[in-house]
Order: sequence, then C-alpha cells, then structure tokens
Amino acid sequence: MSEGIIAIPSKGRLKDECLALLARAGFAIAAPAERSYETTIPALPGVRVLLISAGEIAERIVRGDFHLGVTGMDVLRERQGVLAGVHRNIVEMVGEDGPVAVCPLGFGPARLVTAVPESWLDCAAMDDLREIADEIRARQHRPLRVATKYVRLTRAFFAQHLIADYRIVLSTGATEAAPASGLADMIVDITTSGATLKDNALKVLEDGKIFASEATLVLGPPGPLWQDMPGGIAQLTRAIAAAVHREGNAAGALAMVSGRVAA
Amino acid sequence: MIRAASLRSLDAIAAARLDAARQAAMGVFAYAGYALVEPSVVAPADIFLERLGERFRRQTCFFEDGTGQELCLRPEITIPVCRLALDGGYDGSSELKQRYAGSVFRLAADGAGALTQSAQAGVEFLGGSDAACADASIIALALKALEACGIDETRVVLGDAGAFGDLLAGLALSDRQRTRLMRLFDAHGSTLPEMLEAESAEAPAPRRVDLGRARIEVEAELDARKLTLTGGRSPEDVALRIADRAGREQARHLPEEVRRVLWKMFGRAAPIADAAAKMEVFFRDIGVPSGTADRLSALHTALVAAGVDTSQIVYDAQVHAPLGYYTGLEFRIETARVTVAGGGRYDALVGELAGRPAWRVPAVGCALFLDAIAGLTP
Repeated sequence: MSEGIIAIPSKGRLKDECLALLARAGFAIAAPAERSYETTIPALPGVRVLLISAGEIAERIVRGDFHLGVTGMDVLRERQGVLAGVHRNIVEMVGEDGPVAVCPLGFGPARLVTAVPESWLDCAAMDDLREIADEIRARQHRPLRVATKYVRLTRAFFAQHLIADYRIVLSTGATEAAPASGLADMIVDITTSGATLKDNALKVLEDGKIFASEATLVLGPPGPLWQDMPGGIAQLTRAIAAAVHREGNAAGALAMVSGRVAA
Repeated sequence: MIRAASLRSLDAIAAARLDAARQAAMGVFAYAGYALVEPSVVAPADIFLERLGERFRRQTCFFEDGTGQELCLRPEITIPVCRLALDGGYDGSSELKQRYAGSVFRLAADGAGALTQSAQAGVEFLGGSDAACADASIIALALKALEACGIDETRVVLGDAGAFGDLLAGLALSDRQRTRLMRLFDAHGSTLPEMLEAESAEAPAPRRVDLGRARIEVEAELDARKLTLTGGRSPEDVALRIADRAGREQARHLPEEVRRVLWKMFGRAAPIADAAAKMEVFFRDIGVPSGTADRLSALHTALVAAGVDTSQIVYDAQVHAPLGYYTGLEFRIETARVTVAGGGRYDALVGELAGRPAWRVPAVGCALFLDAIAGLTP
C-alpha cells in the first residue's frame, strides 16, 4: 500500500486551529524539525504531513499533489473559477473533475465581497454599480476599475450581474487601500469582521456578497495518486470530519473517491 | 489535475478538406475584389473588451504575456480587420474591401470554459454608401462562396438590429428602460420575452427625489461623515444618480403593453418578399415609426437585382447575434440545420474603435464557418 499525503497550512491562526483539530481527532502531528516543512502523525504511520501555505495547498491539490488538504474555499474556488454558495452539509465537487470539498471545519471564516467607497452615497447594490460603470465610461472615458486578487471569481460574479464594462486591476496585498490610493475605484476582497473595510471608508454592496468561505477539508481530484487508496487517508478523513460532527460528509466524500479508485 | 482543452489538430485528410473549403471561399472573395489581410491571432485585450457584448466576452480567452500586457486570442476577426484598416490610415471616405482566413478561439459557454478553435474565411466591406446594395452584395457573395465549397442547398435567415432599436425608440419608455432592454436583448437574444415575463412578477414602488434636494443632501452627508469622493466622481454625479434612482425601479417595471408588443414582434417571421409588408403592418398597428419596412424592401429589391434566389431567404425578428456591434442587417446561412455562415452590418464599430463614437462608417461583412463546411463536404 502506498503512503498518504496530507497538506495543512504552515502559519498563522489557520495552522494553530488545524493542529488543534488534528489533536482533537486523535491524530496529533509530531513537531516538525527546525526549518522542516514535513512531519508525521505518530498514531498513523504511512501518512506524510506537509506544512505549506493555504494558497499553495489550493493550487497543488487541484494539480493532484496530495490526497488530503486543508485550505480555504475562497482560494480553491478562485483556482477553479467556480462560483457557488457554501453547502455545509453537502459534499461538493469543486469544478468538473476537480477536488472534493468534504466539509467546512469551523475556523478561518471569511466572506468574499464587493465593496465600494462609502462616499458613493448613490451606490447600494450591484444594479447601481452597473450604472456607475456606465457613468464613468461616459464622463471619464475609461472603464470602472476593480482591484482584486480573485480575478476569475470577480469575472464570473460581475457577469452574473450583467456588468461588462470594467477592468480588473490585480492586487495581491492591501487591496482595501486601492480606492483611496487611486489604484482602482472599488474592490472585491475577503473580509472577516469588516473592520478593515470600515477603516478604509468602504462599504459592502447589499447583493455584493459573493460567498462565505472557511477552512475546508479537501480530497484531491482523480489522478495517478489514486491508483490505490492509502488506508490512512480514509481513516484520517473520517476522524477529522467526526471531530467537527460531519461524519456523514466523510462517508459521502470517501464513497465518491473510492468510485474513482475503482474506475 | 488540469484538463487539457479540446484542441484541434487535423490529419492529412481533414486538413485537405478544410484547405479545399478555404481555397474555394477565398478564391471567390478575391475575384470579387477583396484584398487579403492577415490580422494577428493574438490581440491586445482592450480592443475586444471595449466592444464585445457581455455574452461573447465571457467566451474570450484572456492572458498576459511576459511584459504584463493583457492579450487575448481573437474570438472573432471583424474587430481586428477594422483595427488594421484604421491603423493603416483608413478615413472612411472611400470603399475598402478586405478578405481574411484564419482561426477564432472561444471558451465554451457551458461554465467549464474549455478552449475551442475554429476556422473562418470572411470579408469586410467598409464605406459602401448604399446600405441595401452593400448588404445584398455580401449575402450574394457568401452564397457564391458556399456554392464554390459545394454547398448550394441553403437557407438564409436574416434579422434587422435596427427594428428592435426603432421599437424601443417608439414605445413609451424611459431612456433607462431602453438601455436596459437593449442590454438584455444583447445578453439573452431571442429568449428576452420569456425572461421579462419571469421578472415582471415583482412590482416595485418608485420614489422620486428632486435633484436640488439631492445636491444639498449629498454635500451635507459627505461633509458630516468627512468622506472624500474617489474614483473621479463628483458630488454632482452622485446627486444626479440619487435623484434618478427611482428611475431604475421604474425601468424594471415594464408596462404590460410593452411586453405584449415584444412578444408580438418576436413572433414575426416571413419570406423576405413579404417581410417588408408584414413589418409595415406591425409598426403601423402599434403606432411606432420605423425604417425597418423600408430597409427590408430595399434589401429585397437589391437582392433580386444582384441575382440572388430570394425564395430561400426569410426574415425572422428573433435573429440577434451576441457580438454586440450589429446595427442593421444580421444574417446566418444554414444548410441541413448546420449554420455555415453569418454576418451583418456594423455602422458604429469603426467610429468606436477610432475613439470617435459619433463617427458612422457604413460597414458590412460575413464569415464562412470552414470547419462546419469541411464536415459537410464528402
């Protein structure tokens, strides 16, 4: 039997919560050696644990590098360009032939939102935004500029609201400062409490909430890794899901994956 | 795992078939006096972003090159040909006839967005002062090119983008409602009436605010909350829109009469010989002035004069391409239920690409869909 690979976030609160969750599930990891990003679970031989950033986990789980990973639904959906609501009790396939989101884990909450300057007193909803895009085009002879790092999700969401005349400005850090600095007119970004938006005099549009995201347990997509199913992975999936009271999700997701193994 | 796009490679037999169709079509275009141009397969994103309708834009594959320039694989070839003409100093004062052959690239509209490549050969006729004659010459040329490809059992279905515009202009609607209906027509095409029916259920309660009061309120609120307007917008812009906001609610609220007329218009279809009379009656009955009947009548005359068999040409008010730039004639040519060619009139496009929206350059063109044609020929 081949070895299983699980990837978990390497820093910050996501890492701490994740380690606590694994401990609660009965599979605490061994402390990694200094400067090492790899470790083991003493109670589960045959499973390697990689500590890497949540963004990289999303990228690499889609590519099929791991069996199991913990990452945010926001980065996963952006990677796949899939716009959908969050289904707490449903095992979700992210993208055609994509990874399977087993269950949300109850930490790392974030909302992806469309936010405009508070000074735009005339802008409360996406319909207003479409008209402002027309106004900016007519009066300033340029497109509305939207700063975001969620390029694909922004495109999909704006298309849903029939907003066509805008330009995305790629912003990978401090996106909320973009309108004040003049980089863009408005933003699409992740927010947790909304405090940062408020500090930057931005407001979320009524129907501008794209989706709510949280840390999620994810099984990798079909690929060479699934030639056979490492036993440790099934056990780990069930234990983590049970620790957040989503045993049903684990059963459903594993059934989907063993279907792949059989195929 | 990243799925490979369904990219197209042709073996010797398929390539020979495609090449035969391309040579046949391009030969006909050349004989008709159309000069060969070769616009780039890759184009700066801007020229498409600013001109394509939303439905089409979602199907365009954008990417960045190593220098950070935003590019795209061309999803159609009319815009690049017009861009090329402008770059070459074309000023609209003379006739310009150009032909091209090449691939277009589109992302599947199913949400998954796989990239597809398909081959086209087409012509663009700029600056033809007699619209009906130019339109008829393009339809005749497309039919002749298809014939050269061995396809002669064809049916031409044509529409008139101007008819919808005339209808909107003549109905008792606000500008807001007109803009919105035009956008919805571009986005939803022939399913527009169904779509409007579905949303008419919600009845909004509009509230009108006087502009003077809105100005005072906006200034006061910005001041009180110590907010600075960003994005180059002025307090006047904000006040205007606040005063006008009720208008948006009203824009959603279409009178029953208007929806009824739209249904009626979308049900219109007739052989080209009867189309003018039929549309004349339609517009007279609803009391809306329209140039559609005259345009259709002139087109019919020009088609007959050009020697085209008009028995296989029908007018259908639902025909509308999602390209977003057609201003008059729009048509597609079918054979055995396969669409093998399409085209139309786009008098506003050249001016818009030149950054002079008021500049109208009469323009009409068509493209043959070579993969479909090669698939039909034995």
